[in-house]
Amino acid sequence: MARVVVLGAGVSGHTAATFLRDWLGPQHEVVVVTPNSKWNWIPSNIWVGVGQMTKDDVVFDLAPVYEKVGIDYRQAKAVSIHPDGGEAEDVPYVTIEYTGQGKEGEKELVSYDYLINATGPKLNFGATEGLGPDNGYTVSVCTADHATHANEELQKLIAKMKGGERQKIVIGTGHGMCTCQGAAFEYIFNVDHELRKAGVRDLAEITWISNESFLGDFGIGGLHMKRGGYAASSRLFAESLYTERGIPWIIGAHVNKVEEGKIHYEQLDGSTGELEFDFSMLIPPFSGVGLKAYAKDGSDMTDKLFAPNGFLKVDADYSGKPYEEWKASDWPRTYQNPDYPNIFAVGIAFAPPHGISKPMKSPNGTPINPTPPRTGMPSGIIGKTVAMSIRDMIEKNSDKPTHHASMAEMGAACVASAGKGLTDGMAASLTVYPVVPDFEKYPGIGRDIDYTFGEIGLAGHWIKHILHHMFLYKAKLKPGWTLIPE
Amino acid sequence: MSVKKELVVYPDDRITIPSTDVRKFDETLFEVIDMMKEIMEENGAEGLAAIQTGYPYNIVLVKDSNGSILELINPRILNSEGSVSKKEKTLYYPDIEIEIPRYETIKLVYEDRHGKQHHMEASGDLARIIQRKIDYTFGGTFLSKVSKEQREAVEKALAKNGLVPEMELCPPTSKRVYFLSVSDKILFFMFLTLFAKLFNISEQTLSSLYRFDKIGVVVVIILMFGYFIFGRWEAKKYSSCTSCQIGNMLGSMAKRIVAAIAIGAGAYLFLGS
Repeated sequence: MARVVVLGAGVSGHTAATFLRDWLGPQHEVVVVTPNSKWNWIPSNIWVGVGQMTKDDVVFDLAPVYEKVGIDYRQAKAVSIHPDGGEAEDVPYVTIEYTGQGKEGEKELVSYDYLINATGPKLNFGATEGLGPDNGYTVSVCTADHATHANEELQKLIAKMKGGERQKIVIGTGHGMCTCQGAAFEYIFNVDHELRKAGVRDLAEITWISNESFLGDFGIGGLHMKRGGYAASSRLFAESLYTERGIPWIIGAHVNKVEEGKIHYEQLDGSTGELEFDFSMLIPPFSGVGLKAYAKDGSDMTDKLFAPNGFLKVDADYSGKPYEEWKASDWPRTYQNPDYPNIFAVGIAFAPPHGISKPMKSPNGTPINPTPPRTGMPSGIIGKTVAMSIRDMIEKNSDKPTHHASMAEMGAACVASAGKGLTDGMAASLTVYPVVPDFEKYPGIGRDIDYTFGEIGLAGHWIKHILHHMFLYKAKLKPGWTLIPE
Repeated sequence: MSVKKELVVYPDDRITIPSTDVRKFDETLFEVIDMMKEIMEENGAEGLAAIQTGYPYNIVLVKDSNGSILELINPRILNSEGSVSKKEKTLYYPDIEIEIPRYETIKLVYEDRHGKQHHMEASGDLARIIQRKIDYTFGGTFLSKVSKEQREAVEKALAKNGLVPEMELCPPTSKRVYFLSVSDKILFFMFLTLFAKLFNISEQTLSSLYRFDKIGVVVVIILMFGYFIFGRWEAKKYSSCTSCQIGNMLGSMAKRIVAAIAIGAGAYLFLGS
């Protein structure tokens, strides 16, 4: 009998846990430890943030779903990993602290044979003074609750505009090292769409601010869409879209402080600026969730298991090589920790070897460039791949992972909403292959343009809406869920 | 010099290839820059992007007000102010002059030939040339900045001079539309059956119509998947055919599948019960 413990139940953790439960016999245990009681289809938070969906439309209770399939669910946050066991324990274990199920605050040891770290990120609002909805002045759409709050603030703003008041809106990234520019991109165009529907767009001054060095970078060094047999850059596509909607942009920007109604930022040329706002949604930077690791004698070995940014080290090249030497092969393939073969990390929780976008710094030494995204389709694929490897290691006694899913070898599809509506909605449907450019295999832009294309229109919105229902159906493990791709 | 010396001019559409950032600041880069300078001198150009010489690298050369050539590697425009329309010429479109709106002042970051990052502010003609050249590095020409009508007029003028782009046109008809056509006809007849109860029709006939609707739903869904698979196969032959793209096809599919399900549901209510 083996016990697999999955820390986190986001897209990648939930995918890994549910497939393992489906594949492994009842003699094996699958335990999910997550501080949340609900599963959240995060891509649709954008629509919650503009009032087109409610929180209940994008979340569901995990407990009944896990109970139905026999997953041992513990509503708790992981505190530490003890890969060699402890003074009183010979087997590896994690310590957890309950956040629900009537055991709030209780601590527990959970031993494991295999551990999947899928904790996702800590939303590091603290990295920028005044950022975030809790201790700051900006809103967020990173969680369903944040998105609900964002919509409440947006509706107040719309009410003011209906009263004839001009309002300033700033949307983008709240730090020089943010990822998820795509979410901010979706939000700014959805806000624009809602303001047009409300008939108040002319009273809003909307500005985009981000850490991208060019518009349309999206954290992956830009996309290249096939056009006339050649690739067209996402910069041209994005610039025309922003211009059409009357949205000016500030790029290469590190937001270093937010005050009530005022954003302070530094740009790649070292200059500083200020932006006034009445409503601002800025994505925070991500970091690891702060898990600690301890050796058998109780000494701290967090640095051995985790990279300095708090994400778990896997089979990637962390030598810190310069940009000109970055290679596709630097990226992990099996997501197995090099020191502990029974520990894996999936989704945002694995430490990337380096960025995808060109690393850049201001003359003051402030790094300003997008960090690599590990969300959406790739995180689901990685979760399933790791589950397949662990299944084979348990059932076929494989001594190493049997499956691989490097982001430099996989493609990804993304449907970015630019406004919700059955007849007037719009979304950009994009695919990239591979996610991480492989400059050796595809000299030039590093991607295969036959599998890299994009288009914007109403059909994209319908696809996005269908995907919303499809992935919620899959996550609820309803009949046929295994047939729905990641 | 081992790099090839060439000037890419219309209708050579290599100009639309987005340039990749320079990652290695080595002898090859210096050779490309020297070659670009030679082309600039020979053609009296005020600026040149590497892709105009067939090299898809993010390199821009521009002459400043003193006539010295600025080497801008991996340039990015960070800020812009003002807007001015002015007539522009470029080596890529021989003998064409067209009014293009551009930012009046820009602030940019770039690297020198040794990879050291710099920043600068440019205004007036220098800003205009830099913007035009940076557009080239992202796969855009100055015609990307004008209306469709203006672009077509320029292309017509170029065609009069014997310059016609080799176009790989999307065929006006495609065999995949047969899938849509058959589906639409089935959907039309399925829709008509919803009104059958308004007429004095026997129960047996109503039952047959209901069976037709049930089969119709399945057939339309199968046809739509066939349409998508065939369309993707067909699209590979016509890389410039934008309507072949997946978004449009999924849209066409979705519309008919939704219609089939809706009519199927209507048939269940009106004929099935």
